[in-house]
Amino acid sequence: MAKPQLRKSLRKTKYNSASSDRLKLKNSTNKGLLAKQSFVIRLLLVWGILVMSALGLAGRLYYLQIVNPTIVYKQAPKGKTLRQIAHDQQSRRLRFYMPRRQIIDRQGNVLAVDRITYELYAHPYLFKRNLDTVPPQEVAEQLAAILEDKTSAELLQQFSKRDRGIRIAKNLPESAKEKIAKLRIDGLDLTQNYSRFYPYEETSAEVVGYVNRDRKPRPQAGVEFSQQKLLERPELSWLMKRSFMLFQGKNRSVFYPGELKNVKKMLKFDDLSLQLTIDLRLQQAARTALKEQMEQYKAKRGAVIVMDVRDGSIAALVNEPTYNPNFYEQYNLELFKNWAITDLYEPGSTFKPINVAIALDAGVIKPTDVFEDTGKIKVDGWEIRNHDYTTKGAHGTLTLAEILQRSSNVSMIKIINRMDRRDYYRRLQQLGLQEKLEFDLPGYAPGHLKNEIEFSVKSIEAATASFGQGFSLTPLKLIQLHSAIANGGKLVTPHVVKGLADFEGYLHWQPSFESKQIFSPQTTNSVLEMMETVVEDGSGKASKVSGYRIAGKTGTAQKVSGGSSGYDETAKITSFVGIFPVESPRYAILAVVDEPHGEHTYGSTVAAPIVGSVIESLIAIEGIAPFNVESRE
Amino acid sequence: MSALPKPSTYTYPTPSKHYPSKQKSLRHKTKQSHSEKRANEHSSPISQFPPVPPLPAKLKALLLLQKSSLGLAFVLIASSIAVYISTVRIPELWSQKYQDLETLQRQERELVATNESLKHKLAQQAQQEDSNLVLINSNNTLFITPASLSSSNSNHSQPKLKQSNLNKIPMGY
Repeated sequence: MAKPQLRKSLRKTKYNSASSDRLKLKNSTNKGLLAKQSFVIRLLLVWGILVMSALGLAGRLYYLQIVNPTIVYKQAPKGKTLRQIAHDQQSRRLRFYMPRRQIIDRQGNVLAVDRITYELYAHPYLFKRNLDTVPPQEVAEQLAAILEDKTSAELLQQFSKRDRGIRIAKNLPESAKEKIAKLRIDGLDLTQNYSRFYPYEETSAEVVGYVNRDRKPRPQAGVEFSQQKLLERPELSWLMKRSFMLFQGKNRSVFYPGELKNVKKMLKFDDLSLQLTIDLRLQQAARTALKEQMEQYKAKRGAVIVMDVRDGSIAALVNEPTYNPNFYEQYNLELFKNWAITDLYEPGSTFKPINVAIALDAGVIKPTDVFEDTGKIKVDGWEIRNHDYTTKGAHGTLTLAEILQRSSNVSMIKIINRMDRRDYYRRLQQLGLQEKLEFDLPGYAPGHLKNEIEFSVKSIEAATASFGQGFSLTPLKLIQLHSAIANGGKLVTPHVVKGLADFEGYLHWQPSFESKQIFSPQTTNSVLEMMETVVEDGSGKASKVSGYRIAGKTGTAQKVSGGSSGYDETAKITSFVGIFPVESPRYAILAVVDEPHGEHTYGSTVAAPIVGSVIESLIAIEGIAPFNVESRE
Repeated sequence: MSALPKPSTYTYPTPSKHYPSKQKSLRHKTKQSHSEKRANEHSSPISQFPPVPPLPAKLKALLLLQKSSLGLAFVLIASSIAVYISTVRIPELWSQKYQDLETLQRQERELVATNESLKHKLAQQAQQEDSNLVLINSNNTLFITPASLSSSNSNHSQPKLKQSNLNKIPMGY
């Protein structure tokens, strides 16, 4: 009886036959059988509990992993699922720093470059070195030795104000950062920033402009502003998987580059920089010459533009006073606009060669014509005099060249009087005086002409326009017109951007510019020869460089007084425009000095010497040989 | 499992009959033929090596298992190395190299900035009046006419002549 019973129970408990045989032999009595039964039940119970708890854990695991509820955990961000938390930990959006393109000059000198700067924050409550507290005095002394613009006393005073988060300095260079890091003092915090650096400071500020140092840097002036599209490289960022790894005692992020496509995109940056047509040496030479004259005549402001007449590229564009773009915040906003481009002025006598060219092109005068200069003339009831009428009176009979040499207003009126006023007006318009010029630098102001009806009805309007008054234009427009005289009548587009160049200087992109014929080459040749006599024998002698053929024209214009329509008797604007070398014109140079003070303030005395020294520099920089090389040998 | 029929007597069976299995090696065959030759020479029945008994089926299975597990182990080792390389080593190297690249780029920019600043400082110093430096102008410059040009002196349309002495003297910029 016992045997089958035991077997039955054993079969129930899934014991194998071998153990059941052993049991059978050991437990042959009823008592033994009962004990065995309870043992089996206990075993089952333990097994059951273990299995149940394992199943429970598995269920919980399934819930946490698959169902993924919001976890209740102190440190976990609120409302985030485990999946989200894990994702946040294991991945990071990396922003790859794509530096703004460099700006280089004609020769490859770097005018603007991105660099890392550091901001220094101090937390005095943390001042420690190797767990030993460092007294603030010591920190202040050591910092003062590194930061040149602060004394230890000043720093100590700053430390006493607050115990944390004091900004000590900004725009620290890499070198200062390394020195501070070497101090190994806790509580000195350096944060990294990128900022634009202009190594040549104010030398090319009016062309290059500046980028401000806000949290999100924005270009504010010059090429930086107008060529934003060429300068800015798109920011690259993508979500990267990461883990952490102990490296040199620090827990560092290790990134999984992932798809090759992304990596390729990241590494495919170019080394192109924006090349300008500016020549830094010429820029500096022009500034020095301009500054000298401005100081001598205590002038309000001045500008020099040097333009290559063949294509309109600008080799130098100088405004004085100017600013240092590295410390732009210290300057008046007025300085950030480039007044040679944005401000209109009445060109005065520098416009006379243009008028002569218009008259020659219209066929109303011939280069051999002569005019009787009476010294003064009455137009519409207004008496107009030559500038030197009080000292020299009437000049008598003058050739066209002599009219320019002596800058005779009366003769100019006589020339223009030969033309139909409406025709003259239209020809002025054709010069593009009132048109918007697409210039590389921001803020170009179109010139201003009187309206056509007023101009054609009143003869005084045409008369004043004949010697460059009664209308206004920017210095840039004036030099563009003079370039047309120099290059055979083509109106070229002024520009400062040469293109995108690689590190070897090869251009990968170039802007294209249009030009338009406005005078005939015969006309411009004869006007150029007339202008040459101005430098040789006339008012432009101050710009003469021996051995070279230079053409030029002076200008001394009265300034329109602030409110009313009259002219200011004391304020004038002196200018000189030079073309060089005459035998094969390359450069047109314009110098404008606004409101010079003192005696003898004319274009011939204030502005012409500037052009003269710019030409000297051009000769040295470009290696331009004198006209008659043989005679010098 | 074995395809070999059990020999009833120790006679000299013909090779074709005695070794029908293709599994037997060629080497084995030649050995046997050698012994046959010897037997023929002496022409006396001598006890020969008993034929290798076929391996039991279980052992064969185990052998196969061993071989395949060895193969599997190699595959696993190779794949784990590959996984290690792709998930640990490459990211590690990549991160390191990317940091190197960033450092180099930063240093390059820093170098450019410093170099240009130095040039600017030099130019500023050169402009000071006590620097005793002479500016190049048309009077202290020697213009040399190229030989080809001097023979045809009508060509004034090219005023820019080559002058090595000018280009070698920096003006500061």
